[in-house]
Amino acid sequence: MSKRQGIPRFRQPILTPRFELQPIGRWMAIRLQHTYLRDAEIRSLLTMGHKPPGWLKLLRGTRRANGKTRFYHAIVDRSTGATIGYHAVFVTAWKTATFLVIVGDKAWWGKGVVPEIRKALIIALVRHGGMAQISSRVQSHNYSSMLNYAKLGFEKTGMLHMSGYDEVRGKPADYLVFSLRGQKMLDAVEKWEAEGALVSE
Amino acid sequence: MSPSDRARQIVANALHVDVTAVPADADVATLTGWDSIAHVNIMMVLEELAAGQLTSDDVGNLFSVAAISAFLASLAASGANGMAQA
Repeated sequence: MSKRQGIPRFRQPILTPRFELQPIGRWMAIRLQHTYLRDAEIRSLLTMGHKPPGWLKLLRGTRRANGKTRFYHAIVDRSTGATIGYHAVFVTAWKTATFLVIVGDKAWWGKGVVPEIRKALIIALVRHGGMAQISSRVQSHNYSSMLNYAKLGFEKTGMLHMSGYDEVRGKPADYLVFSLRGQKMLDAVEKWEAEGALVSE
Repeated sequence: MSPSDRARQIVANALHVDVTAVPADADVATLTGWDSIAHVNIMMVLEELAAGQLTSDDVGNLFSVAAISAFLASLAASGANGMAQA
């Protein structure tokens, strides 16, 4: 499918065993990022900035969720109804999507949130969006993000040397590219479907 | 201690399990306790042992005991401080 066509499945919530990914619009996406990026530890892994990004910067960097190439979700704990994080999916090229996530509630760190929600998202992207590849870039000090990709079977497929500046560490930052594609992705999707990673309502 | 045993010990310490629970062929997919926090702890130990020699290329590959073992062996061969004492 062309990236110009929408993915209607993403208008509905996506359920995993523990979480609900609730579709949200641009303003809520900005609000969640603004809240979570006040935390210096989260910022050091994502924006690498000393200061939290202001509203204007977030406004410029967060375009409207268009149902075709940009999808934003609030990560909601199904047992309490609390929002614990933010996830974005961008269709960046032909049949290729990329991810961005912030688990804002640190009580959930190390508890498998990201692999769980991404299994469901990848199933939905492959089955309903016709994606052939998921490819994301990760800052070279973001070890937890790399681990999350490795756990899902992503492989390091590239390196972007000095493609950002890390204000926290005071030096240029490298980014690694992790990808999942082809038969390996289809096999993973089948396995995750059998495990019940994407819960039907 | 061999690089393989050292790698198993580092992973076991990060996962708070006995080293016997970490086989030499273990990786992030087979060890359920190898979560993001454990991985950050493993990488911090490796950063310290590598004394500045842990490159961006390396960090994208260290997802198994075998890969960590190979990395430690390369450090030992290059005479990095931490490994010279290990």
